[in-house]
Amino acid sequence: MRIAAALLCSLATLAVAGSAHAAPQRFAVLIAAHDGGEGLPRLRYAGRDATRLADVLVDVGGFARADILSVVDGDADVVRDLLEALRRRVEETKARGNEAIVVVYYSGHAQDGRLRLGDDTFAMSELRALLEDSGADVRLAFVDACGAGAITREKGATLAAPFVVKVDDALQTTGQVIIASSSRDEVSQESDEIQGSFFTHYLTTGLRGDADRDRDGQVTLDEAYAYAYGRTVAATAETRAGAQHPTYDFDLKGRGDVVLTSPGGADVVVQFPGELEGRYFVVDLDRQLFVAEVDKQKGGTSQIALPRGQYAIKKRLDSHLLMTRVQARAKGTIVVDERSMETVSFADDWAKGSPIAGVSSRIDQAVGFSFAVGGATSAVVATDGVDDGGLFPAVASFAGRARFHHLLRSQLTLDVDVAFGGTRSTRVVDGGALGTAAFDVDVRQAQAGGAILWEQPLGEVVGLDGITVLAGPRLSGLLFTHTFIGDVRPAGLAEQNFLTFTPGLEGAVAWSFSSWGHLEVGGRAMYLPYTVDSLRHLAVVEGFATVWLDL
Amino acid sequence: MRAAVPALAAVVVALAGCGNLSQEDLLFRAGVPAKQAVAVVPPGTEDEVDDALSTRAQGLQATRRQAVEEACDGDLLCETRNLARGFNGFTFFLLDIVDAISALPPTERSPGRRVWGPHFDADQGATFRFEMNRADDGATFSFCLHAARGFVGRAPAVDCDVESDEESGLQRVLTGSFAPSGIAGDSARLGKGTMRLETERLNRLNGEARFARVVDFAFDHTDGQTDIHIDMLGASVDEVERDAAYDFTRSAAGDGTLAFDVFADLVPGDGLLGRRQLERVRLRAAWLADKAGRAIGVVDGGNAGEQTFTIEQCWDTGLATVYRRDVGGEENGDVGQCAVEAPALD
Repeated sequence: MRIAAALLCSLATLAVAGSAHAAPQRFAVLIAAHDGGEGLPRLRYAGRDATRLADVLVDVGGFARADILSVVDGDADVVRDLLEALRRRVEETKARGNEAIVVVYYSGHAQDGRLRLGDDTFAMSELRALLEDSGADVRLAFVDACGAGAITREKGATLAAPFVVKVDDALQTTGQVIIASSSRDEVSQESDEIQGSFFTHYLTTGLRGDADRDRDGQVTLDEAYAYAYGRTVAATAETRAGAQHPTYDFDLKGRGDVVLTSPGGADVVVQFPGELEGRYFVVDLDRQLFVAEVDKQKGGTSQIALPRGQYAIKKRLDSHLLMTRVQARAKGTIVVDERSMETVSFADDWAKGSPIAGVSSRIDQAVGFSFAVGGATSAVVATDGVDDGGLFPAVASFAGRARFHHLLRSQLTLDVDVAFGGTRSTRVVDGGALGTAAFDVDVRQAQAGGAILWEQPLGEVVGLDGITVLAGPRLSGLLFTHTFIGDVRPAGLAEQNFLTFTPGLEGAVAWSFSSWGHLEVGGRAMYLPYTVDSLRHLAVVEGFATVWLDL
Repeated sequence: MRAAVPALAAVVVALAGCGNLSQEDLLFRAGVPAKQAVAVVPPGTEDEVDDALSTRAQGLQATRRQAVEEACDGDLLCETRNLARGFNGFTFFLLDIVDAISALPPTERSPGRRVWGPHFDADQGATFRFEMNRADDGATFSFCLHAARGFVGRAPAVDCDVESDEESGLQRVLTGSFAPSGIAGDSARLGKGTMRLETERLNRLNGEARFARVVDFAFDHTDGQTDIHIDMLGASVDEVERDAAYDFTRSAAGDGTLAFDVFADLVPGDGLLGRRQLERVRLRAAWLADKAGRAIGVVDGGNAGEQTFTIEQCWDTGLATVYRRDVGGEENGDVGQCAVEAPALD
């Protein structure tokens, strides 16, 4: 009752603000830290928790991607920089006469009143102070630091050193709410099954709509906290580390409620009708991400909001799964019908979600999809020293590329590309005693490749913000076509072609010129096995420049 | 996942290196003799030979259709055209097949060697295998063509030394060697060479009556000049195997000579047991670039017995006969209108 009353009180501020100003500006800073320094286990899902929350805030929380600043595995200075950037944005917003709401989220280890950022630490009191200094009208902080076990692992502080440090007496601020994922003497936990921490998992599920008790299409802070609290306690009760009880600290004045998300207005609403009962997991198939878990009680209707996409909904039973695929490509409501779900064995689960963790220095780079156009120039190097008479001239190409971030694991990017190019060249054929002939040819070259690239933002390493280096292996198919032109042509032969596969390495440097795009220059070195006249081991070297649109 | 990796590797290996982007393939294309190099073109056949050079025979039976003979009635120019059609029909047919199969990417490649097929040719209803080998001198190519009626579904262990492969049914129907004048342009596929047409095997594949055992060609087509020598071995004439030799020359301007041996029933009378008897006709012809020419045929044997008869004929630029002396010595026309001297008889 205490929290309900407190939150009701706190909501008044936003409600009043909402009546005076139609659309308060919303900002977020998301901090994820997998490493807590010496003696603490590396967390698996901290980055992924941040990604999930970012998705929810964008999908149904009214946040713009560009207004979500994030850092994964950064040190205290990076966190201070982000909070300073947040303060400046709030200041600009206030200067324009608008109201501002900020959300600060932390997922990682904590110990002795300090957030553990690798070998660095960041005092909770400093976080509180910087949050207060942000100048936002409403300031919300979610601190999640925990995890343990074979399936659940202890995530943050040791039992003797709880992470929620003096919430009651150190973080009480007007217009501010702090919610922690566990109480003073508990550990927070993360789970391999849900591929994230319990608290963030249920918080994000609730924000997507399952916490909307009054079915008004909006999830308030009160509803979200109540939902996350109840689900987290229930889910962790049977774990080795024991039940985990989220806590809160608030100081809000005014009337009304803080609306965190509006799932009722989302493009796609998945509805679980009254007759359904049990635990339903929702997996984003495009990205193999768990996005929600609905613990459905018989009788009431539950619903969650999702962005457009392709999802799997599965229900776990004792001996098997019930699964169905949902194509949510258009605006509307999808009603889950358990009768149409297929029975699938645990081994054949086709929507397990991949264990991805981490976000990049910009959340909009860390999730989703990018594509690019650009140009490339390639040349084949005759490593055997054989003069092949211009069989492989240098070719300029137009390239298109697409990139899927963090599909496989943190900082790994799946990159696919196609390129088409051509040139006009002359093939010189030495026939020995038959003499020499020169044939003019139109050379066309088509290439399709895939690469797995490691992304390393240099801002996290050497402080070069906006610069990222990428490198990794690549495999491509390369098609050469020579069309004979001109007056002198080989007898009865109009065209020659050659298709081969070229494994190699790729490296690039990217410069982010805005939140939505970046430039990239790089090079490739590939092995080209030529097998027609004889087996030759050739090398393809290629340079490219591309302009990327980051979605 | 464990199955996917080797499967992916197998796909990569299978697909790697597909194609015909080859320098040496261009040399081999130049080493396939063109029909033009072996075309016998006496006056009056220029247009039909040009047509045949630019089209492909549509079936094995085309060898006979192309050799449809005119009714000559002792017209020596007509006889030369018939002979030319007969030879061209066989050589063009086989070289059409060679041309088509060698335009495909080779089935086997190794330095100095290319093999195409066995490929099933639906138009012909037959399977063909063509092999070329480049000699050490780099300028000469040897080749062979095997053929089998119907479809041969696997690659047999056949090379140019194999005359007949019982298992696959492939029969060697063409062998030869060729030294092209160059690699590109007009000099490619024209040059000097030899060919042996295994006509007996080819006729067996056709299901036709035996025509001859083999026909050997020695040809030289350089700078527009054509010289062809043909030996027909084991020709079945009047149920007797005979050998015959043929020579053809033609300059770039179009003038040329012919020396053919033919067998024809020119002297009336029956042989033993009422059989007809064919006389041997030694035919010599020469013509100018404007097509006006002269031919002499010497007839002996058969019903001529020990006697020798001489036929002579001259024609003008429109191929109309302007002078003729028949077997009985009767003359028609004016010998003074003959544009060339009488070809020498050897």
